[in-house]
Amino acid sequence: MGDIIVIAMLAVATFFAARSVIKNKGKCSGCSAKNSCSACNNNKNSIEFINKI
Amino acid sequence: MPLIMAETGKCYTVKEIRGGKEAKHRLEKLGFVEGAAIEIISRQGGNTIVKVFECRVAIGAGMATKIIV
Amino acid sequence: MSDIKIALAGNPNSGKTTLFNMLTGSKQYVGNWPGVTVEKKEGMLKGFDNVIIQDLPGIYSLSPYSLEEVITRNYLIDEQPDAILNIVDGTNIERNLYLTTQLIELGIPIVVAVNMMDIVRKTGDKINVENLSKALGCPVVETSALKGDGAMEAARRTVAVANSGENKNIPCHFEGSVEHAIAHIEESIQSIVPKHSVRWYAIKIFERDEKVLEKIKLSPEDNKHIEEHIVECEREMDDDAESIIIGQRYAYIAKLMEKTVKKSNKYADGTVSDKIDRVLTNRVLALPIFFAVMYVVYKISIGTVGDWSVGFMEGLFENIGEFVSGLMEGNVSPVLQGLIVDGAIGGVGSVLTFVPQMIILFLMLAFLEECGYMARVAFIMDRIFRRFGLSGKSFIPMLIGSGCSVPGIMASRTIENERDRRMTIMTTSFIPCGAKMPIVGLIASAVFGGSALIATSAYFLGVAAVIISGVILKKTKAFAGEPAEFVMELPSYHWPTVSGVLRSTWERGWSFIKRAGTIILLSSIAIWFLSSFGFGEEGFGLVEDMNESVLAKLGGSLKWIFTPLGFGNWEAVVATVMGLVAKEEVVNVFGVLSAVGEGAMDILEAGGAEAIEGLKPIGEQFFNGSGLSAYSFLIFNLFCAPCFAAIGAIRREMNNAKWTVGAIVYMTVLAWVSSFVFYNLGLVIRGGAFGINAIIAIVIVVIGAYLLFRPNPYKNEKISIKYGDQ
Repeated sequence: MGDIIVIAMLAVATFFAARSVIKNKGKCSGCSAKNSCSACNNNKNSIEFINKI
Repeated sequence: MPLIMAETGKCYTVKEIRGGKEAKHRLEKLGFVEGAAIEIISRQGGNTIVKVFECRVAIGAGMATKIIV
Repeated sequence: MSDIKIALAGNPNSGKTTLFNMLTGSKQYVGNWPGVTVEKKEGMLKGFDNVIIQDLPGIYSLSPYSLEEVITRNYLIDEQPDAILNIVDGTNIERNLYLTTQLIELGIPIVVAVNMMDIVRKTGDKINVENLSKALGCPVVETSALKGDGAMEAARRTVAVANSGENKNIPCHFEGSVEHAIAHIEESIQSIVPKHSVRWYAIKIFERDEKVLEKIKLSPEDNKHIEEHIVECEREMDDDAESIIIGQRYAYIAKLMEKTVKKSNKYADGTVSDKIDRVLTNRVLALPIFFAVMYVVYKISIGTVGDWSVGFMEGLFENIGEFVSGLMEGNVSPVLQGLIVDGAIGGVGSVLTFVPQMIILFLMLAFLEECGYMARVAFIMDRIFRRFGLSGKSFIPMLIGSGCSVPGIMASRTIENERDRRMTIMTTSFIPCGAKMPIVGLIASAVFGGSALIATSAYFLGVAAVIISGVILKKTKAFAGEPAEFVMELPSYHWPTVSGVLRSTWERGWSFIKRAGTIILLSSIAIWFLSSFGFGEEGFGLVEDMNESVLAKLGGSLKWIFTPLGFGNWEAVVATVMGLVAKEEVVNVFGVLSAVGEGAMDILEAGGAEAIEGLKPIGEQFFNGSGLSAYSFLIFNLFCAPCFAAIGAIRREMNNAKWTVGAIVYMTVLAWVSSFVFYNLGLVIRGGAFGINAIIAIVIVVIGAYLLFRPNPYKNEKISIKYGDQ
C-alpha cells in the first residue's frame, strides 16, 4: 500500500517537473523560473540596462 | 588643447572635434559639439568622466584626445 | 475600428519602461519575438481595448550606431506606428531633445512627455511646457513616472493625435544652404518614400546614411545630383555632412532651451554624484576600492554566511531525510526508500544547501548594480581590460553573467565592435554563474574546510581566464585590432529602492530554487536509477556495488579524458558531463552518489554536530581528500562548456554555427589544459615523481607563455566597426 502511494506521489512530481523542464528548454535561469526576468528584459533595452546599473 | 590634458574639476568649452568620422559623429551625438560647456569630473589613466549637458559620460583615452577644448 | 499602435521611444534611462508598465498595468504581457533582431515589449493600454503600446529599446538618435538603434529605427520606419509617445528626461532635457527633433521629422503624430518632473521641480529648474509645445509643434505633457503623475494624460493625448493623422510640423530648420540641399533631395525622392516621412529620409540621405541609401536605391543621375549639393554644403561649412546636421541640431536645441528652460544654479559647485565620483573613480583609489568591495561581497556571502548556512542547511535536509525514512519504514519497500531518501532528497538537498549563500551574494550584487557603482566599475575596468584587448563594456556582460550566463551573453549586444562582441561572448561564461556557485561552495566546504579564500579564488580564476583569453585571442587573425573606444553614459548615484533590490534578488534566488525542484529533481531520480541498477551476475537488476551500475560503466568509458587531470573516477566524470544540463547538477550528482554509495544513514550520521564534516565524506570519496584533484576538478568545471541554455544563447548571439562550435571547443580546451597544468605541476611541487605528464605540462606552459607574450602580428590592423547581421 505504502509503495503505491509513494510511487503515485513520485509520478505526479516527476510529471510536473518534466513538464516545466520541457516548457523552459533553453531559457535563462531567471526566465525559466518566472517567465520573465529583469536581466533578460533589460537586455532587450540593453543600453538602457547599462545606464541603469 | 586636447581634453586629455585638461585639468580635473575644471570647466571648459568644446572648440573642435577631431578624428575619424565615426568617432567624431559619435562624440557629437553625445553632445560634444562646438561651444558645448563641459566639466572634467574624474580621470583614470587617459579615461575621463566628463559632464556634458548635465550628463556624465565616460570616454576612453583615445576619444579624449579627439576633443579639443 | 482597427487597433491603434503607439510606440514608446526615448533615451535610455528616461523612465520608458516604468511608464510602460504603468500604462499597460495588469493587462501587460511581455511578448518576446524570437531572433536577435526584434526585441520589444508590447502591451494593451489600460482602459482602452484597441490601443497597443510598444516599448522600444532606449536610444540616443536614429542613426544606426548600435543594434538597439537599428531595431528602433526599423520599427518606426517599416512598421509605421500610428503615433509616437516620446519620453524625455526632464533633468537632462537638451540631450533628450536631440532624439525628439529626429522623431518629429519622421512625420508620425507625436506627443512629448517631459518625464521626471518631480526631480526637475526639486532642483528648482523651470521648464515652460507651453513654449516648448509651440516650438516643437506637438503636444507636450509633464509626467513623473515614478509617482505616476501625468502618465494616463500623456497616453490619452497620444491616442488623440493618432486619430488626427499625420504630423506636419517640422520645427528644426537648418541653415540656408543645408535646407536648400535637403529640399532638392526631397524633390528627388518624393515618389519613392512614404509621403509623411519625406523630410526624415531627405536628411538621412544628406547624412549619407548607408542603410537608407541601400533601401531606397536612387537612380545614378539623382545620386550624382544630390551628391553635388551635399559636397557644396560641406565645402561651405568646412565639415562633413553628418557633422553639419548634428551641430545644427544642437544649435537649434540650444536656442530652444533659451526660450523654454530656466536653470537654477542650486548645484553650481557640482552635484552629489560628482563628488562621489571624485572619490570612487579616483585615479589612485579606484582599483583598491573595487577589489575591497568585491572581496567583502564574497567574504560575507561565501565565508561568513556560508559558514553557518551550510551547517544549518545540511542539518535541515538530514532531518527531513530521517523524518521521511521514519515515515516509510516498514510500509515501503527499501528500494523505493532509497530512491526517495538517497535520490530525491539527497540530490535536491545537496543543491538547496547553497541557497542562503547565494541569496546574500545576489543581494549585495543587486545593491551595487542599482546604486550606480557597477557602471563606474566598467569605466575603471576599461583601463585594465583594454590592455588585454577587451573594452570596459565587456565587463557588463560578465557582471550579469555572475547571476546567469544566458542574460550575460545576451548583454554582449551592447558592444558595437563585432570582434569585441564575439570575444566577450566566448569569455563571459568563465565568470562563475549562480549555478556554478554550489560547485565552488561544495569544493570549498568538502575539501578545504570552508575556506573563503577558495571561493574568492574562483572569481579571480574567472577573471584570469578572461584576461588570458583576451591576450591570446587578440593575437589571432579573427580578433585582431584595437578594441573600440569606450564611450558610456554614467547614471547619477542614487539609493537603490528596497523593492528593486529585493526583486532582483528574489528573481535570481527563486529561479535557483525552482530549478532544484524541477530539472534537478528529475535528474536526481535518473541518477539514482542508473547508479543503483546494472548488469550483475544474475542479469539486469539492483547491484550491490555501485561500481557495477550502468552509470559507472557509462562514466567509466570517458574516464580516460579526465585521468590526467587528477579526477579520473567515474563519479566525477558523470558529474562533469551532467553539468552540461545545468551546472547545479555537478553538486547534485555527488549528493545522490554519496548517499547511494555510503548508504544515506551513514552520511547522515557522519554529519553529526559539525555539518561541514557532513560534506567531508564527499571530498574523501571522490577526490581521496586530495586538494589538488578537487581544485583541478573545480577549474575544469568553471571553464568548460557551459550548460545547454548558455550554449543556446551563444549560438543565438553568434548567429553562426562555426563561431558557436569554436567558442565551445575553445572553452573546453582551455579548461582541460588549465586543469592539466595545475594538477600535474601541483603534483611535482608537492614532491611527486617528474614524469611524462609533468613534461607535457611544462611544454604547455611554454606554448601558453609564447601565445601570451609573442608580439602581436596584427598590431597594425585598423579598427573597423561592423554591425551584427540584421
